[in-house]
Amino acid sequence: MTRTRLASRFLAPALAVAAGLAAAAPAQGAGCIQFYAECLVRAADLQTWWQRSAAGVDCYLDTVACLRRAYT
Amino acid sequence: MNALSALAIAGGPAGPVGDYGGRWVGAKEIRLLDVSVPALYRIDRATLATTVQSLSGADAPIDPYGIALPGDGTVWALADKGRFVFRFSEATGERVEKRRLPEPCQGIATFWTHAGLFAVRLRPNERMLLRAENGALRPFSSLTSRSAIGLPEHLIANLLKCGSGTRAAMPCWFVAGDPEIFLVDRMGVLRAVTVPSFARPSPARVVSREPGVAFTYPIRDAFLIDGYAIWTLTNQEGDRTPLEDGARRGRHVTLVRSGRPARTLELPEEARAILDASERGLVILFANGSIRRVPAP
Repeated sequence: MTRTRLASRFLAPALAVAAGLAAAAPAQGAGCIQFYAECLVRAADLQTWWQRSAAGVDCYLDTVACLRRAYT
Repeated sequence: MNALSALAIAGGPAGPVGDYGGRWVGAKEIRLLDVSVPALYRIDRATLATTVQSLSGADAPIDPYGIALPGDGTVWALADKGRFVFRFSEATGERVEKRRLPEPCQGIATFWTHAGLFAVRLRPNERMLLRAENGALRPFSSLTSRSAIGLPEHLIANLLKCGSGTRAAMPCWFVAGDPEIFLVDRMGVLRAVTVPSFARPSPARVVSREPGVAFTYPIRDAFLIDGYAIWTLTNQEGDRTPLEDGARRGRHVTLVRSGRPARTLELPEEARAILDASERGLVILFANGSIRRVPAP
Protein backbone atom coordinates (compact mmCIF):
# COMPACT_ATOMS: atom_id res chain seq x y z
CA MET A 1 0.00 0.00 0.00
CA THR A 2 1.44 3.36 -0.90
CA ARG A 3 1.62 6.24 1.49
CA THR A 4 -0.94 8.07 -0.64
CA ARG A 5 -3.42 5.20 -0.44
CA LEU A 6 -2.92 4.86 3.28
CA ALA A 7 -3.41 8.57 3.74
CA SER A 8 -6.59 8.62 1.70
CA ARG A 9 -8.02 5.75 3.72
CA PHE A 10 -7.78 7.35 7.10
CA LEU A 11 -6.87 11.00 6.98
CA ALA A 12 -10.28 12.47 6.22
CA PRO A 13 -12.18 10.65 8.97
CA ALA A 14 -9.29 11.16 11.32
CA LEU A 15 -9.28 14.89 10.81
CA ALA A 16 -13.03 14.93 11.29
CA VAL A 17 -12.69 13.55 14.81
CA ALA A 18 -9.46 15.27 15.73
CA ALA A 19 -10.82 18.62 16.76
CA GLY A 20 -13.43 17.09 19.03
CA LEU A 21 -10.96 14.71 20.64
CA ALA A 22 -8.41 17.40 21.27
CA ALA A 23 -10.95 19.27 23.31
CA ALA A 24 -12.68 16.32 24.93
CA ALA A 25 -10.05 13.84 26.05
CA PRO A 26 -9.35 14.12 29.78
CA ALA A 27 -5.78 14.10 31.08
CA GLN A 28 -6.11 10.74 32.81
CA GLY A 29 -5.07 7.87 30.63
CA ALA A 30 -5.63 9.73 27.41
CA GLY A 31 -2.04 10.34 26.38
CA CYS A 32 -2.02 8.40 23.14
CA ILE A 33 -5.32 9.70 21.83
CA GLN A 34 -4.64 13.23 23.01
CA PHE A 35 -1.35 13.10 21.16
CA TYR A 36 -3.11 11.73 18.08
CA ALA A 37 -5.64 14.52 18.06
CA GLU A 38 -3.03 17.23 18.53
CA CYS A 39 -0.79 15.64 15.93
CA LEU A 40 -3.60 15.61 13.38
CA VAL A 41 -4.48 19.21 14.11
CA ARG A 42 -0.85 20.15 13.48
CA ALA A 43 -0.85 18.05 10.29
CA ALA A 44 -3.96 19.80 9.06
CA ASP A 45 -2.15 23.15 9.29
CA LEU A 46 0.54 22.13 6.80
CA GLN A 47 0.54 23.83 3.44
CA THR A 48 0.10 21.12 0.82
CA TRP A 49 -2.09 18.04 0.58
CA TRP A 50 1.00 15.86 0.29
CA GLN A 51 2.55 17.35 3.44
CA ARG A 52 -0.71 16.94 5.32
CA SER A 53 -1.09 13.33 4.18
CA ALA A 54 2.47 12.37 5.04
CA ALA A 55 2.23 14.00 8.46
CA GLY A 56 -1.13 12.34 9.01
CA VAL A 57 0.31 8.89 8.34
CA ASP A 58 3.10 9.64 10.81
CA CYS A 59 0.50 10.63 13.41
CA TYR A 60 -1.37 7.42 12.84
CA LEU A 61 1.63 5.12 13.12
CA ASP A 62 2.92 7.01 16.17
CA THR A 63 -0.45 6.47 17.78
CA VAL A 64 -0.49 2.75 17.03
CA ALA A 65 2.98 2.54 18.61
CA CYS A 66 1.80 4.51 21.64
CA LEU A 67 -1.27 2.31 22.06
CA ARG A 68 0.73 -0.89 21.76
CA ARG A 69 3.13 0.31 24.44
CA ALA A 70 0.27 1.34 26.68
CA TYR A 71 -2.00 -1.64 26.43
CA THR A 72 0.17 -4.68 25.67
CA MET B 1 20.88 2.03 26.20
CA ASN B 2 20.36 1.80 29.94
CA ALA B 3 23.17 1.15 32.38
CA LEU B 4 22.16 -2.42 33.14
CA SER B 5 21.96 -3.34 29.48
CA ALA B 6 25.39 -1.80 28.96
CA LEU B 7 26.76 -4.09 31.65
CA ALA B 8 25.36 -7.10 29.86
CA ILE B 9 26.88 -6.08 26.55
CA ALA B 10 30.24 -5.55 28.21
CA GLY B 11 30.43 -9.29 28.82
CA GLY B 12 29.20 -9.56 32.38
CA PRO B 13 26.18 -11.52 33.45
CA ALA B 14 23.04 -10.62 31.58
CA GLY B 15 21.28 -7.84 33.42
CA PRO B 16 17.57 -7.19 33.58
CA VAL B 17 15.78 -6.81 30.28
CA GLY B 18 15.45 -3.12 29.51
CA ASP B 19 12.58 -2.85 27.03
CA TYR B 20 10.96 -6.15 26.12
CA GLY B 21 10.24 -6.39 22.42
CA GLY B 22 9.18 -9.98 21.83
CA ARG B 23 10.47 -13.54 21.93
CA TRP B 24 11.01 -16.72 20.00
CA VAL B 25 11.17 -20.18 21.58
CA GLY B 26 13.26 -22.90 19.98
CA ALA B 27 14.01 -26.46 21.02
CA LYS B 28 16.85 -25.50 23.36
CA GLU B 29 16.90 -21.72 23.43
CA ILE B 30 14.69 -18.72 23.99
CA ARG B 31 15.55 -15.50 22.19
CA LEU B 32 14.24 -12.29 23.61
CA LEU B 33 14.44 -8.88 21.99
CA ASP B 34 15.47 -5.91 24.12
CA VAL B 35 14.90 -2.86 21.94
CA SER B 36 16.60 -0.48 24.38
CA VAL B 37 20.06 -1.80 23.42
CA PRO B 38 19.12 -3.27 20.86
CA ALA B 39 20.08 -6.87 21.54
CA LEU B 40 18.86 -10.42 21.67
CA TYR B 41 18.99 -12.26 24.98
CA ARG B 42 19.78 -15.90 24.23
CA ILE B 43 18.48 -17.97 27.12
CA ASP B 44 19.17 -21.69 27.57
CA ARG B 45 15.83 -23.35 28.26
CA ALA B 46 17.35 -25.91 30.63
CA THR B 47 19.56 -23.68 32.77
CA LEU B 48 18.35 -20.14 31.99
CA ALA B 49 22.00 -19.25 31.38
CA THR B 50 21.89 -16.11 29.26
CA THR B 51 24.16 -14.48 26.75
CA VAL B 52 23.47 -11.16 25.09
CA GLN B 53 23.92 -10.72 21.36
CA SER B 54 24.05 -7.16 20.15
CA LEU B 55 22.11 -6.26 17.01
CA SER B 56 24.03 -3.94 14.74
CA GLY B 57 23.30 -1.93 11.63
CA ALA B 58 19.84 -0.70 12.57
CA ASP B 59 19.52 2.80 11.09
CA ALA B 60 15.98 3.27 12.42
CA PRO B 61 14.47 2.49 15.83
CA ILE B 62 13.55 -1.17 16.21
CA ASP B 63 9.95 -1.60 17.27
CA PRO B 64 8.95 -3.69 20.30
CA TYR B 65 6.49 -5.48 18.04
CA GLY B 66 7.93 -9.00 18.22
CA ILE B 67 10.51 -11.07 16.37
CA ALA B 68 10.39 -13.92 13.90
CA LEU B 69 12.92 -16.64 13.16
CA PRO B 70 11.49 -18.40 10.11
CA GLY B 71 14.51 -20.65 9.66
CA ASP B 72 16.34 -18.66 7.00
CA GLY B 73 19.28 -17.90 9.28
CA THR B 74 17.98 -14.47 10.18
CA VAL B 75 15.98 -12.74 12.89
CA TRP B 76 13.22 -10.50 11.60
CA ALA B 77 12.11 -7.39 13.48
CA LEU B 78 9.99 -4.39 12.56
CA ALA B 79 11.39 -0.87 12.61
CA ASP B 80 10.30 2.76 12.31
CA LYS B 81 6.76 2.20 13.60
CA GLY B 82 6.18 -0.82 11.43
CA ARG B 83 7.30 0.67 8.14
CA PHE B 84 10.33 -1.59 7.68
CA VAL B 85 11.50 -5.13 8.33
CA PHE B 86 15.08 -5.58 9.41
CA ARG B 87 16.69 -9.00 9.04
CA PHE B 88 19.65 -9.67 11.32
CA SER B 89 22.07 -12.57 10.99
CA GLU B 90 21.38 -15.21 13.63
CA ALA B 91 25.11 -15.89 13.80
CA THR B 92 26.48 -12.37 14.14
CA GLY B 93 23.59 -10.05 14.92
CA GLU B 94 24.53 -7.86 11.95
CA ARG B 95 21.79 -6.47 9.77
CA VAL B 96 21.68 -8.24 6.44
CA GLU B 97 18.58 -6.65 4.94
CA LYS B 98 16.31 -3.66 5.34
CA ARG B 99 13.01 -3.94 3.50
CA ARG B 100 10.22 -1.37 3.30
CA LEU B 101 6.89 -3.09 3.81
CA PRO B 102 4.13 -2.54 1.24
CA GLU B 103 1.95 -1.42 4.16
CA PRO B 104 2.86 -0.65 7.80
CA CYS B 105 2.43 -3.48 10.29
CA GLN B 106 1.87 -3.59 14.05
CA GLY B 107 3.47 -6.91 14.92
CA ILE B 108 5.48 -9.92 13.82
CA ALA B 109 5.85 -13.52 14.99
CA THR B 110 7.13 -16.85 13.74
CA PHE B 111 4.46 -18.99 12.13
CA TRP B 112 6.40 -22.21 11.61
CA THR B 113 8.55 -21.61 8.52
CA HIS B 114 7.51 -18.05 7.77
CA ALA B 115 7.24 -14.67 9.43
CA GLY B 116 3.66 -13.66 10.13
CA LEU B 117 2.99 -9.93 10.04
CA PHE B 118 0.06 -8.28 11.82
CA ALA B 119 -1.65 -5.68 9.67
CA VAL B 120 -2.70 -2.22 10.76
CA ARG B 121 -6.39 -2.03 9.92
CA LEU B 122 -8.71 0.94 9.54
CA ARG B 123 -11.80 -0.94 8.44
CA PRO B 124 -13.59 -4.05 9.74
CA ASN B 125 -13.51 -7.47 8.09
CA GLU B 126 -10.02 -7.16 6.62
CA ARG B 127 -7.44 -9.90 7.03
CA MET B 128 -5.12 -9.38 9.99
CA LEU B 129 -2.35 -11.93 9.45
CA LEU B 130 -0.10 -11.53 6.42
CA ARG B 131 3.12 -12.93 5.09
CA ALA B 132 5.58 -11.56 2.62
CA GLU B 133 5.48 -13.23 -0.81
CA ASN B 134 7.20 -11.88 -3.90
CA GLY B 135 7.25 -8.33 -2.65
CA ALA B 136 3.61 -8.29 -1.54
CA LEU B 137 1.83 -9.12 1.69
CA ARG B 138 -0.65 -12.00 1.39
CA PRO B 139 -3.20 -13.10 4.02
CA PHE B 140 -2.76 -16.59 5.41
CA SER B 141 -5.55 -16.92 7.94
CA SER B 142 -9.23 -16.06 8.25
CA LEU B 143 -8.67 -13.76 11.24
CA THR B 144 -10.20 -10.39 10.34
CA SER B 145 -10.32 -6.89 11.78
CA ARG B 146 -13.15 -5.83 14.05
CA SER B 147 -15.47 -2.87 13.91
CA ALA B 148 -15.69 -0.08 16.46
CA ILE B 149 -17.73 3.08 16.74
CA GLY B 150 -14.99 5.64 16.11
CA LEU B 151 -11.49 5.85 14.68
CA PRO B 152 -9.61 5.86 18.02
CA GLU B 153 -11.78 2.98 19.20
CA HIS B 154 -11.05 1.18 15.94
CA LEU B 155 -7.31 1.59 16.50
CA ILE B 156 -7.60 0.11 19.97
CA ALA B 157 -10.01 -2.67 19.00
CA ASN B 158 -7.58 -3.99 16.38
CA LEU B 159 -4.41 -4.17 18.43
CA LEU B 160 -3.36 -7.77 17.89
CA LYS B 161 -0.81 -9.97 19.62
CA CYS B 162 0.35 -13.54 19.16
CA GLY B 163 2.13 -15.70 21.71
CA SER B 164 4.12 -18.91 21.48
CA GLY B 165 2.68 -21.87 19.62
CA THR B 166 3.28 -25.50 18.80
CA ARG B 167 3.74 -27.46 15.61
CA ALA B 168 -0.05 -27.45 15.26
CA ALA B 169 -1.22 -23.95 16.19
CA MET B 170 -0.34 -20.40 17.19
CA PRO B 171 -2.32 -18.42 19.80
CA CYS B 172 -3.38 -14.88 18.85
CA TRP B 173 -5.74 -12.43 20.54
CA PHE B 174 -7.07 -8.92 20.31
CA VAL B 175 -5.63 -6.89 23.17
CA ALA B 176 -8.89 -5.05 23.86
CA GLY B 177 -12.17 -6.86 24.35
CA ASP B 178 -13.29 -10.33 25.29
CA PRO B 179 -10.90 -12.85 26.90
CA GLU B 180 -10.71 -14.96 23.79
CA ILE B 181 -7.70 -16.59 22.17
CA PHE B 182 -7.73 -17.66 18.53
CA LEU B 183 -5.69 -20.74 17.77
CA VAL B 184 -4.45 -20.39 14.20
CA ASP B 185 -3.59 -23.71 12.59
CA ARG B 186 -1.25 -24.34 9.67
CA MET B 187 -4.12 -23.98 7.21
CA GLY B 188 -5.01 -20.60 8.71
CA VAL B 189 -8.19 -21.98 10.29
CA LEU B 190 -9.21 -20.48 13.63
CA ARG B 191 -10.46 -22.09 16.81
CA ALA B 192 -11.61 -19.70 19.54
CA VAL B 193 -10.89 -20.50 23.17
CA THR B 194 -12.35 -18.43 26.01
CA VAL B 195 -9.97 -18.00 28.93
CA PRO B 196 -10.51 -16.72 32.47
CA SER B 197 -10.42 -12.95 32.91
CA PHE B 198 -9.60 -10.80 35.92
CA ALA B 199 -10.62 -7.59 34.13
CA ARG B 200 -13.83 -5.71 34.79
CA PRO B 201 -15.22 -2.72 32.86
CA SER B 202 -13.89 0.62 34.05
CA PRO B 203 -16.42 2.82 35.88
CA ALA B 204 -14.86 5.72 33.97
CA ARG B 205 -16.42 4.47 30.74
CA VAL B 206 -19.73 6.05 31.77
CA VAL B 207 -18.35 9.57 32.13
CA SER B 208 -15.09 9.62 30.18
CA ARG B 209 -14.73 10.31 26.48
CA GLU B 210 -11.27 8.76 26.49
CA PRO B 211 -11.69 5.84 24.07
CA GLY B 212 -9.44 3.43 25.94
CA VAL B 213 -11.71 3.09 28.96
CA ALA B 214 -14.50 1.68 26.81
CA PHE B 215 -12.63 -1.64 26.65
CA THR B 216 -11.14 -4.19 28.98
CA TYR B 217 -7.67 -5.68 28.37
CA PRO B 218 -7.78 -9.22 29.73
CA ILE B 219 -4.77 -10.96 28.13
CA ARG B 220 -1.11 -9.98 28.14
CA ASP B 221 0.47 -13.17 26.91
CA ALA B 222 -0.32 -16.74 25.90
CA PHE B 223 1.84 -19.84 25.60
CA LEU B 224 0.40 -22.92 23.95
CA ILE B 225 1.74 -26.28 25.03
CA ASP B 226 1.01 -29.59 23.38
CA GLY B 227 -2.51 -30.95 23.65
CA TYR B 228 -4.12 -27.52 23.28
CA ALA B 229 -3.33 -26.52 26.83
CA ILE B 230 -2.71 -22.77 27.07
CA TRP B 231 -0.97 -20.78 29.75
CA THR B 232 -2.30 -17.23 29.79
CA LEU B 233 -0.95 -14.18 31.57
CA THR B 234 -3.42 -11.56 32.66
CA ASN B 235 -3.15 -7.97 31.56
CA GLN B 236 -5.73 -5.74 33.25
CA GLU B 237 -6.89 -6.94 36.66
CA GLY B 238 -9.80 -5.22 38.34
CA ASP B 239 -11.62 -2.22 36.89
CA ARG B 240 -8.71 0.08 36.06
CA THR B 241 -7.58 -0.07 32.45
CA PRO B 242 -3.80 -0.08 31.91
CA LEU B 243 -3.56 3.69 31.46
CA GLU B 244 -5.67 4.61 34.47
CA ASP B 245 -4.19 5.50 37.84
CA GLY B 246 -4.05 2.49 40.12
CA ALA B 247 -4.00 -0.03 37.28
CA ARG B 248 -2.99 -3.56 38.33
CA ARG B 249 -1.60 -5.80 35.62
CA GLY B 250 0.02 -9.15 34.99
CA ARG B 251 -0.38 -10.76 38.39
CA HIS B 252 -1.89 -14.13 37.46
CA VAL B 253 -1.16 -17.00 35.10
CA THR B 254 -3.77 -19.62 34.29
CA LEU B 255 -3.47 -23.01 32.62
CA VAL B 256 -6.52 -23.65 30.45
CA ARG B 257 -7.13 -27.20 29.22
CA SER B 258 -10.14 -28.54 27.37
CA GLY B 259 -12.46 -30.48 29.65
CA ARG B 260 -10.42 -29.85 32.79
CA PRO B 261 -10.63 -27.12 35.43
CA ALA B 262 -8.35 -24.14 34.95
CA ARG B 263 -5.35 -23.81 37.27
CA THR B 264 -4.51 -20.28 38.34
CA LEU B 265 -1.38 -19.06 40.05
CA GLU B 266 -0.89 -15.64 41.62
CA LEU B 267 2.48 -14.07 40.83
CA PRO B 268 4.51 -12.12 43.41
CA GLU B 269 4.83 -9.08 41.15
CA GLU B 270 3.76 -7.78 37.76
CA ALA B 271 4.76 -10.02 34.87
CA ARG B 272 5.46 -8.92 31.32
CA ALA B 273 5.62 -12.18 29.38
CA ILE B 274 5.70 -15.97 29.52
CA LEU B 275 9.05 -17.05 28.12
CA ASP B 276 8.63 -20.80 28.56
CA ALA B 277 5.98 -23.13 29.91
CA SER B 278 5.02 -26.73 30.56
CA GLU B 279 2.42 -28.39 32.77
CA ARG B 280 5.00 -28.28 35.58
CA GLY B 281 5.82 -24.61 35.54
CA LEU B 282 6.79 -21.46 33.70
CA VAL B 283 9.63 -19.08 33.02
CA ILE B 284 8.38 -15.55 33.52
CA LEU B 285 9.76 -12.18 32.45
CA PHE B 286 8.69 -9.78 35.17
CA ALA B 287 8.01 -6.10 34.60
CA ASN B 288 11.23 -5.18 36.43
CA GLY B 289 13.21 -7.04 33.74
CA SER B 290 14.09 -10.10 35.80
CA ILE B 291 13.60 -13.65 34.50
CA ARG B 292 12.65 -16.40 36.93
CA ARG B 293 11.15 -19.87 37.07
CA VAL B 294 7.72 -20.22 38.62
CA PRO B 295 6.48 -23.72 39.54
CA ALA B 296 2.92 -24.63 38.58
CA PRO B 297 0.43 -25.04 41.44
